[in-house]
Formats: sequence, structure tokens, C-alpha cells
Amino acid sequence: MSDRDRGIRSGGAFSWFFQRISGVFLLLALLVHFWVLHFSAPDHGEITFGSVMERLNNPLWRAFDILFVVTAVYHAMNGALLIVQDYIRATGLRMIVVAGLWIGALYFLIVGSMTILGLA
Amino acid sequence: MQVTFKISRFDPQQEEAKQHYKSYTVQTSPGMTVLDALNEIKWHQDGTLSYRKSCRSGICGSCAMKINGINGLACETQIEPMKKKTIVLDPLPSFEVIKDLAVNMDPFFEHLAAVKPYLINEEPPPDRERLQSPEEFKRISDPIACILCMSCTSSCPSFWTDPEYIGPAALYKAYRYEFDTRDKGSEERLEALDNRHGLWRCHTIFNCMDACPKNLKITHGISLLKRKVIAEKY
Amino acid sequence: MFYRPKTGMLAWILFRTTGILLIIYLAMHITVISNLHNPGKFNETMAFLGSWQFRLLEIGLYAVVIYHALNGVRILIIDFWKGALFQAKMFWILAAIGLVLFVAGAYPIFTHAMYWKHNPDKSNYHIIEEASIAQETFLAGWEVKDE
Repeated sequence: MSDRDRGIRSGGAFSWFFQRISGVFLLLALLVHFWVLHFSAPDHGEITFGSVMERLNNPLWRAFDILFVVTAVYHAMNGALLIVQDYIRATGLRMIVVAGLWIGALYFLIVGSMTILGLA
Repeated sequence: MQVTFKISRFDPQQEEAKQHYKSYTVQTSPGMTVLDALNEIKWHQDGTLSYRKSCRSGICGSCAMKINGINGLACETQIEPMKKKTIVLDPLPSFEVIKDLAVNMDPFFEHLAAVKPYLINEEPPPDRERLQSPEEFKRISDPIACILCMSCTSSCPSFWTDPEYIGPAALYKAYRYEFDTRDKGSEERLEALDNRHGLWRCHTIFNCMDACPKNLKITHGISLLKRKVIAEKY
Repeated sequence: MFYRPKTGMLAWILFRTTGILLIIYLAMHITVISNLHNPGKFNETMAFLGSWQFRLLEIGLYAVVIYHALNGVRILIIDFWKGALFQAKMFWILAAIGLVLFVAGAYPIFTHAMYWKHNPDKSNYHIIEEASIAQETFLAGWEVKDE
């Protein structure tokens, strides 16, 4: 048995299992998201500042939106890491790309959550 | 029918050895297999051609190769039903080529050994056999038919990019023992299965099941194995 | 290295491609939305994104989302049931369902896009834009007074 990177957590049982759980949540959340923001939107699909504010004034909607952002970023990050594991074999380049992905994920997580909290 | 065989050639003893294709024309007859054509070429046209073969009846698993872009056994693939004027033959992808169509099989068997493909049971043997009901046997009867031809592992895109991935053949073999009611070796096997070069590298691409000359339900077995590990962990 | 793709490999390649597209879209989406802090900026951005050309692009996004979501369902059925035994058939059944969903959703997106193509002057964004410019000027003046 050659070196199997046993110490590396990513790409194991948890990553596999939670990718499926977050996927199911995203599927349901997307249905709600699309319905509220696009299909049921009045005025030929024109979303106004007022309607968005009204929705976000409800703390339940805000909690839903934050959970949505967190899950989406997690699911995207986990998927990206899997693809990097498959196709980037050079250790140096891989570390740079993984670091970039982490910075990006944290950035979008913070910006996304701040927007939802700050908008209201 | 006249069929042109475009065969991948590689001779390591030649200076500046390079992989290239060489074409041979063979007069085929109904029922003739790709292996028959290879024999025809080697015996009557070009004795320098190398390929693995043994039983020529689909049970030894020696003659697996890439036939027109998809893995399969040369001895099980009939030429005329393919309705092709040109048939391209390549060695199994992702394995080191020794010569022409013969590849180095060592990594494959190393991965197989990693899952401990044998009965592990420390309990003292009973007076008679360790009994199994027909239903219990039915769960493991499919993987028992595996002939270790490497078609599946070599067809797997996850294996192409990760040579440390133990591959569908080893995983299905692990399934065969994990779901054997007489086996108690779960914990010993878990180490090879539950990591990113094991079970979780399988992205259910199904090239293995499409390539398998025995039509085994490989991916289904891997799914059941994944569920077993998840159920034990969470 | 060429390997002839069958249904399963095709589904997987498309799944990865749509996944990467969705990651890029998610990053764009979060960035754009973070710009929507005040009514002025909101209308400015939405007038741009709400233009009929962008609405037509959304049809493409909708297709990508449907594919990734439905193939995700296929993978769940493979992983947690016996979907591995009929995965190719399942792919084509889900493709048919996806096509129906696509037409059903793309139609309203398209009619909305066409409405805005022919009635660009009816947009509320334009009207509120003037109001919010006034609001911004007002707030700017307020800040100056504070100091």
C-alpha cells in the first residue's frame, strides 16, 4: 500500500454523505426561491426594492435565506474540491487552487450573510 | 467481409520507443471474434504482435482490451455484428503498457489485495461447514462471477485521474466479502474502503458496468457498500 | 485518451460541467445581490438585470439548474435505492421530465422578456430611480450637515 493520504479529511465519508443532504435541502430551497422570486412575482416578473424589504423584515425569511447561502456555498465548495482532487495532481498548484477556493468560499459566505442581514 | 484492424503498437526494446498504430487487413467469417482476428494476424501476418490470451472462451479474463473505444474481452466480441470496416484496438487505458496490447497488471492486484479479498473469521470452525441459506448466498452470487479481467477498473474515469483509487473491481470484491454472512472482517477492510482513494472516489459514472463482460451489477454493489459504511458511522 | 462515452459517463460529464457553471453563477449572484443596499443602487442594478436580454439568458441558467437538480435526484436514487440497476433508463425518463419542466418554466421567462422588450418605458425601476436619486442627494446632504 502506497501513501493513501489518510490524514486528509476531504473527500471522505462525511463529504459524500453531507453533499447528498445539502443537495436535497438545496433542491427544496430552490423550489421556494424560484417560486417566490420569479414564478409568482407580479408585474411581469419585476422585483421591487419594497417587496424584497417586506419579505426580509420577517426573521424567518432571513433565517431561511442565510441557511440557503451557507448550504449553497458548502455544496459548491465541496464539489469544487472533488473536481480539484481529480484533475490537479501537482501538489504545489493544487495547494494554491485549494487555498484560493477557501478564500473565495469564506468571502462569499460572509458577503452573502452580511447582505441578508444588512438589507433589512 | 474484409475488416481493417488498427492496432496500437509499442515496443520498449526499440530505440526511442513510441506508441503508434499499425493496420492489418483480415478476411472475417461469421462467428469470428476479435481474438480470432488477432491470432490470424500474429500467426500469418506479423509475429511481433503481443497480446494476452488464454482460454478464448470468456472465463480467464486475459484478453481484455479497448475495442473501438470501449473496454471488453477480445474473445467475447464478435466482429461481423459490429458492422464496422475498421476496428481500433488499444491496450487497457491507464495501465502501463509492457508491449503492444499487454499491460502491467501489478497495480490492479495490489489494489485487490488491499481490500483483503478472502474470508476473515476468527471464530473456531464448526464441526461441519459454515452454513448459509440460499437467500444469503444470493446476495453474493453476482460478484463471485467476476473474472478479474480489469475491464471495469481500467474504464473508470476516477481511476484514470487517481491511480491510488482501488477501483470498481476491488470494491466489488470487498462487497462480496462484506455481505457474506460468514465473514467477520468488516473492521479490517474498512481502512482500505473508507477513504478518498476508496469507496468515496466512486462517482457512479457506470463505465464499469457498461464495460463488464459478465454484466455484473458493480455500481449497485458499491452503493450498498457505501450505505453500509454510512449507516455504521452516522 | 479517447473513451467512448455511454449514458452514465455522459450524465457525469454534464453533471460536472453544470456544477462548475453553477459555482460561477453563485459567485456572480452573491456579488450582484450585495450591491442592493439602497433603493437607488437596487433599481440601477435591477434595471440592468431586468432587461429583456438578461431575462433571455436566465432561460439558459434555468436549463443548467434543471439538469443539475434532476441528475442529483438520479444520483440519490442510485445511492440510496437500487437506481444503479436502471440508471440509463432513469436518465432518459428524467430527461423527459426535465424537458417538460424546462418548457413550463422557460415560457413565462420568455413572455416576461418579450413584455419588457416591447414596453421598456413601463418599468418601475425607472420611476423609482428618479425618486431614489433624490433620496441619495438628500442623504448626502444630511451627512455633510452632520459633520
